[in-house]
Amino acid sequence: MSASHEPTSHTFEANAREALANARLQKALGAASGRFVSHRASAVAERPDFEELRRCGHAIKQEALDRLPQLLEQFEEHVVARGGRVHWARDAEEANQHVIRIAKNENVKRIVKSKSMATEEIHLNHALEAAGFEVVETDLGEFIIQLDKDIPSHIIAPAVHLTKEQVSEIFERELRETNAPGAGIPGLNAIARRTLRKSFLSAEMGISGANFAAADSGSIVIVENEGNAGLCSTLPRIHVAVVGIEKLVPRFDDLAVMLKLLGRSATGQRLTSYTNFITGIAGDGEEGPEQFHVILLDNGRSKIYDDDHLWGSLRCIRCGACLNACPVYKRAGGHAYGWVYQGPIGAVITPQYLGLERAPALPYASSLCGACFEVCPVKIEIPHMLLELRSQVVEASTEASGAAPKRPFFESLSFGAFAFLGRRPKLWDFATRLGRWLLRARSSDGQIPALSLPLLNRWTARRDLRAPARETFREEWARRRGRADAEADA
Amino acid sequence: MRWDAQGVVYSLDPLVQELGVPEWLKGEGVPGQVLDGGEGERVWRAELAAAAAAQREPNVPWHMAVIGCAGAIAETGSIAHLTAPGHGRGGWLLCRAQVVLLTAEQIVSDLDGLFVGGGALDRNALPRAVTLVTGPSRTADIEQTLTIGVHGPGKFAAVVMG
Amino acid sequence: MPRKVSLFVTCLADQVMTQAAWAAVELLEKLGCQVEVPMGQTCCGQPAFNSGYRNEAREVARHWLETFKHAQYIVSPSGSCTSMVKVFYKDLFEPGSPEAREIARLAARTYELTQFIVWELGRTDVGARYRGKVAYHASCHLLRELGERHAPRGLLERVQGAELVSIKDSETVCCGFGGTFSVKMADLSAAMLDEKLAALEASGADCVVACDAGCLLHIGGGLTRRGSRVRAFHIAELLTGRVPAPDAHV
Repeated sequence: MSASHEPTSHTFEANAREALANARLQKALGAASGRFVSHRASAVAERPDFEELRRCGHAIKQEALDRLPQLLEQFEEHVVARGGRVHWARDAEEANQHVIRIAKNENVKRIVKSKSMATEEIHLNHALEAAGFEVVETDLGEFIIQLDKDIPSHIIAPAVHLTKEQVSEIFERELRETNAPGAGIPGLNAIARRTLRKSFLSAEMGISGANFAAADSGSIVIVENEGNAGLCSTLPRIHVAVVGIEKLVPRFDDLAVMLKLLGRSATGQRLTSYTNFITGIAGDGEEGPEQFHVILLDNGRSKIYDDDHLWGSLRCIRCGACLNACPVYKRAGGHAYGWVYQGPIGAVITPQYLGLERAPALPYASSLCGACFEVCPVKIEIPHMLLELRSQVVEASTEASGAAPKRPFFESLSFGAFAFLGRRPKLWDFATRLGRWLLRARSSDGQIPALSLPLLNRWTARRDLRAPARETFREEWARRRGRADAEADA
Repeated sequence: MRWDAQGVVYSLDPLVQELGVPEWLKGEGVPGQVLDGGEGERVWRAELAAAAAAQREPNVPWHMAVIGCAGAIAETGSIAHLTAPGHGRGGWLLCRAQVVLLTAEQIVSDLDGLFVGGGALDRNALPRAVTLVTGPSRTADIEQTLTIGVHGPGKFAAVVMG
Repeated sequence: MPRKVSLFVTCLADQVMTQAAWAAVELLEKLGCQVEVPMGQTCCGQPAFNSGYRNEAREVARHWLETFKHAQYIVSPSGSCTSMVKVFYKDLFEPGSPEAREIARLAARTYELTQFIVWELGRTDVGARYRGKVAYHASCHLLRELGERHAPRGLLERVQGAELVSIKDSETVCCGFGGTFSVKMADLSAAMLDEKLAALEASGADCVVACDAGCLLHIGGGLTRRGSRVRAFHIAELLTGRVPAPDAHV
């Protein structure tokens, strides 16, 4: 399996159809989603105050957004005061150049990385490899993905789409581990541990992301389970953290709330195995890197910040709970979304990062059931944002510039007619009578088994369509309860 | 509980000293190494690196870490490790097993208790790295199946001293 | 003074599930309400709104506001259409505009049927009987946009003779309808439906009830396509004795 870096978000429907036809993938997705959901549910049930925590989480991240420019400056001051350096990156190119420059200046050859969505977003590995550096992903899931030249399919479980048999095949092929098939999951883990140990102990630079950054202390927090982020931020002499500007929280003490929310929402853990609070460089006699660089990444975030309806999506703490809860993600899988962020939150933010014209289907990749909002630890109104994006898709399609794709003619015609008839009851009644008559002609036993009309044929492909009534409820009401009563209200 | 460690690394923690870990190791003839970033630790790490490079890691003598902590959380079963001279972090992260010594007074009921002044997560006294450790290193990246001991210690024990 | 209820039929109940609308009328009248049906009503505009056609939705919403402007209570047998009015209408108009004020006034008196009966009329026992096993499907908009977990269950628990069976984890999982989603992303929608139908059949229920015509069309259409013995009804149909006992439709 190999996937290119080119986003495929615009073909979501086709991607999803392919995923639905892949039995192995469906099995993996179904099992994973079930486990994630039940683990989260038990961890949340342990805290009767979880709703209160969500409210606090929402308030903290919202305050951070409200005061973002000021907090970013404050963060930088504290990082510098503790011997670190801050580099501002407007886009992927600038961020990658910062890292490459630091690596070149410091004669770095080998780099170890811990899991970071921000670095996925800017394709940092690709840039580093092109510049001649050896870069190794050390999170087990990311390591597998890197070996397979694949892309992650879940925010927190990058290899969730693969079965253990597939992982064995990858290890056998890429690492020449002849014992990989039949090694079992613990055996595969042992192979990864052994292979990566060498990288940890020889790398000159460790790269991480950050789950949070505290403005009033200049600290970053990295949440993990394997210990690889701890090693990446301890053993190499240079530590570089790539941090999206939305990761800020105003106060270090706010982390207490955020961490209680994150572990429970993501994996159903009270706290993950390792929570790393990193502040500045190592002091005299203290173990840790000599250099600490923070790359503050914009890459489209300030554009989202300017959208009155969608800026709340910057509250996202990348826990993945909305993916696990989403019945569409569970079927389509992460790759269908065609970019680094998947599921409901991916459907909201991908069109903003890539531009609506490159992901016009994603806002429609939802039944608007709201399960995502229900589990979101920072209460992002995902369904409402998807609706807003849909309106932006339609609006952009009518612009003369032609930059945005046109909506299907049948669709715009239908809604035009809908609006016209919807405020003219007599015409509405006439048109719907005609429609009912047409549909009833195709029915038998009160059901319509097949239709060749556009869109409705997609319904009848898998379900019957109940035949409409000969007489509407209102007509029957008028007949049975008398016109007088009806006229009075008309 | 028998872990059969073939060597022990330890931090310069008062509880580790009080318990006489270094002397005990010497008496038992178990190789011991303090995590002070000094020559001894460098040599130990170089051995690890050499073994890793030769892909012999499963067969080399493996170590257990004995460290103290700056606080612990009852609700989550976590301990807080702060880097400081004599309190390295890479050393215990590289071990196969980790024992943390603490006293009952160090335990707070939940995470909030560490954020107070003088606590392990006192904003005004943060070292390079504070690590909250909650159990062994683990992953569920393959088929969501929990496996322990990926990169960090696969065994974890907290010993509350009377 | 009996409460005067204007029935917001919704286009689907009006055109397709007329029995659900009659059942709603019968229930409301039985509970002492005086029901009227504004004849000029068409649709709430949700299909256009959900597809991103806000200008079109706005025109239909204006018509709805005009149609129901004199209502004392507005009651609808659909959680989804109710949420369109109560939650989403305000997104169509400028805050502070005359329409926004009118929405605030009317939304406050608009209810989904079971919410009206339980929370406004204070009734859970409506004297219903049914001899069989009933599964409840929690429609997403009633559950999450209107935040209603209790009213429909409260009513079902007091149906004499009925056994409320659990569809486990699936009860609050979307059936895959999602309005135009069901035809836009038909394959995903059908895959979601399949899971719902399997859960329903495994539950041992004779019938499934919900508070939304859209979900019921979807679930019902899936059940008949499968030739399932489980049948789908609006909750009001069950509460008014319109659902035949299981042995009657074997």
